[in-house]
Amino acid sequence: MKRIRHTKKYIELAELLAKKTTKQLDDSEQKQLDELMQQEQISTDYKEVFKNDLTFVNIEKYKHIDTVAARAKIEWQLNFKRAHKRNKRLEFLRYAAAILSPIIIALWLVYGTNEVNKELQTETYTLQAGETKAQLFLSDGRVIDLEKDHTAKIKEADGRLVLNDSTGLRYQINETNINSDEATIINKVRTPVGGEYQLTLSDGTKIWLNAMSEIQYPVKFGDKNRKVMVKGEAYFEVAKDVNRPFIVEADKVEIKVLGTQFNIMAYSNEQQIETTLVEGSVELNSLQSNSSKTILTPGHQASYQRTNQKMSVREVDTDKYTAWHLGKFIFEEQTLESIMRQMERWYDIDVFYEHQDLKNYRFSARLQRYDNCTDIFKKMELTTDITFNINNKTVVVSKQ
Amino acid sequence: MSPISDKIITLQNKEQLSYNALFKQMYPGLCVFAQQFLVVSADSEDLVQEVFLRFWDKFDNFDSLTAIKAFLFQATRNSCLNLVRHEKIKQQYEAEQIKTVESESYFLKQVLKEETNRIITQSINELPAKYRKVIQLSLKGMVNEEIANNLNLSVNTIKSQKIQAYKLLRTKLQSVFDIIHHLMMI
Repeated sequence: MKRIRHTKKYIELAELLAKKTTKQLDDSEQKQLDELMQQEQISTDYKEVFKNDLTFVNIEKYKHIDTVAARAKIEWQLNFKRAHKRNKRLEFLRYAAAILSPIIIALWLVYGTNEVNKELQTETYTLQAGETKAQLFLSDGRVIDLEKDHTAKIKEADGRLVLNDSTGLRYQINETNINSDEATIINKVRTPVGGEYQLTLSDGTKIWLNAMSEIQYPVKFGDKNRKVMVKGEAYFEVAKDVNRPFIVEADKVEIKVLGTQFNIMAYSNEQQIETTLVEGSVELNSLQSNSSKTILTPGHQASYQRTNQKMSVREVDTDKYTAWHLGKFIFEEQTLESIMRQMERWYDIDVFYEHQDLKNYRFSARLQRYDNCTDIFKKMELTTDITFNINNKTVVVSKQ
Repeated sequence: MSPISDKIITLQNKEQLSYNALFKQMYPGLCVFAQQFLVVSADSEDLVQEVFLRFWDKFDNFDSLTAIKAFLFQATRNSCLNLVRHEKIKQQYEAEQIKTVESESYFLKQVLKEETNRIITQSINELPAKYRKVIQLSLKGMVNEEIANNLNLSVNTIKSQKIQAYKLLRTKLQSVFDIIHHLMMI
């Protein structure tokens, strides 16, 4: 408390001094200032800071600070925080549901009427599928909204132009007019819940970014390697360059490739980090345990368990893991829980289950990713005894 | 750019101010302030943004604008010190240097310096360009003749510009000073 009081006093002193410097001090303020200056500590500090000289004003200092970009960045993070908070609330709901559902069902059996049930069912909403959207973070702090069907040229700090059009974000191969000494300008693209984005890096590598994901990369790669960092899920079509390996750092796993196609799924709320290889060859290293490297061949998937930090390899149908980037969901004998986690990211919904054992129901389905969420649920309802009740953005899964 | 949401902060004395106005005013100054504590080259902007983000919902608990400012300075300083202490760079710096930066008196002096600087800079920045130049040179301690020579203008012009400039500065300063007041004027 004492410290706050001191700080406030110094802020008031600063205000008075600013007024004095710009000759705006009135009599009562002058008196206030004189009184403050009589305090020994204050007058010593004042002398030390300004050396009795108020010619310290340096406007230039503030010039390079971009307040508008900073505010935009905070806005973006706030939105993410809110989305995250909703997930936390959902966690609570899950526990609450586990405890309360037997009670509610008992009550329903005793008092339940058909009317209540009807009311619930009519309250359905159309839930929009995700769409092409992301935000681009430039090295100089600018934040740019990326949307579909919007063409723009974005200028980097080194004069390089980045093209944003219907095929996503593209880094020009044409390297004229660029100060090559600024080779380490880093850009970042981040997708929100229900967003996806596509980009082509300076070496021609194509990347599809799934919802709630992030990729960080230099606008121009160095001579030794091509390194990027990924959070969430991304599909890579790496351009061949034998002399410069392409390295992806995804949370606890590092993937090294020469030229290939693969999918990496590293959402922090999924138990494993999965690398699925479609074509070519990749080398994996765990960044945490000192286990030896894993070489992956096409049609195989390396799965890193977050719990025991072990890497295992198995043969898989790669379509199932990469379909999302072609606009499809392919599920084969997949648990409802894992399917719904994908739905939550893509449709911006919160899911909870009336019975915990519903989570372990397994489904096989091929669905269009851009279909309305309710259509997808209807299709799933047709083949099982599960019902989906949609209320605003909350989906309740229950038995019929 | 997506629309930026604003929110009204209601202080305990029932005064209100806009979050965005507060941010616009304090952000650049706090960044410069943070640099005084980061003995390493770290990104002061990220750090200050983190402070604002962390306290987005908590500004309502303060009793005055000065209290918010005092708090922002302290929170920024604490974040800086945490960073300095926890980074490996510790060895590279003399323990004494860190001790200086950690001291209470260093903190208060930086508050005094940066806050004074910020208020003056922001009010001067809002002046029309010709007045801004005159004031800047005048603050550097130049007398009218020197300013006139420097800007290639007559001494009389400088004199009248100065009067105008200080008059304008009064209103600008008021708006920088009191964003609560400013908000109600809009």
